[in-house]
Amino acid sequence: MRTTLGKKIAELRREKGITQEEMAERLGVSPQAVSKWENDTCCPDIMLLPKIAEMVGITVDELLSNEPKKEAMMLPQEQRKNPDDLLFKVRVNSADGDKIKVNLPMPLIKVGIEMGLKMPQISGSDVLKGIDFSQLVAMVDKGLIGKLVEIESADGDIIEVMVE
Amino acid sequence: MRIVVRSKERKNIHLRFPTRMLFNGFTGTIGAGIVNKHIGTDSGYKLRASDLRRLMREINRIKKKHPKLDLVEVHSADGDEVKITL
Repeated sequence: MRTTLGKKIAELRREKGITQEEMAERLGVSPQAVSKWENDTCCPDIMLLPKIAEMVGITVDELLSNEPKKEAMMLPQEQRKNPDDLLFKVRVNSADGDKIKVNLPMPLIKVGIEMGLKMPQISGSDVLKGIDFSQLVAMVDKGLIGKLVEIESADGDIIEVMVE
Repeated sequence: MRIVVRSKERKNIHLRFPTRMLFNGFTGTIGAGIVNKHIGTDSGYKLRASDLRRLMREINRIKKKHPKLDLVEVHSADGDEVKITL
């Protein structure tokens, strides 16, 4: 799911426990201006972006990227999503040029693990065989989300496992 | 569920069938037999029909939550594409 600059500022500000008034004061703007940014009515001045990024603990690149945040992060209990809404995403970009995307809802992964199923070998790479998916699911149950695994194999295959 | 295979050299294949028809108790029993035959006895794993039926029940439940979810998408280097949509 793509996000906007305003939504990202709002989400990260709340995560850091900063109010709109505090942010406005530290940036030398009015709280209404911050509200407008967060509602995507207007954008912050380009000169303010480094300060905003620093305040919310990310880089300007990450702030401007409209891709969802992929780094692994531990969510507190109140922010955790319903496990039914979570998707387990496996991305394989093989050195041969093959691209594989697998999107599995978390409940299916759990049922598969309980049944003793193993992640099948994808794209001829043995790397996935070494990943303990039951451990990953246990970590997701504890609130871990984002990019959990990133591997570049000796063959040049790049494998990513994300939970979103 | 939809399965689409696009190939540069061969004909494209579009399969579309009701998920419930594919994933029911009867097909579960048959499916488990086929899977076990395919896996063989060397792996020590045996898929029970009840396990497969449980997985199918879960798929039917999840389908309501994630309709038209792309389960698998493969783009091969030679231009072939395979897409399985829930």
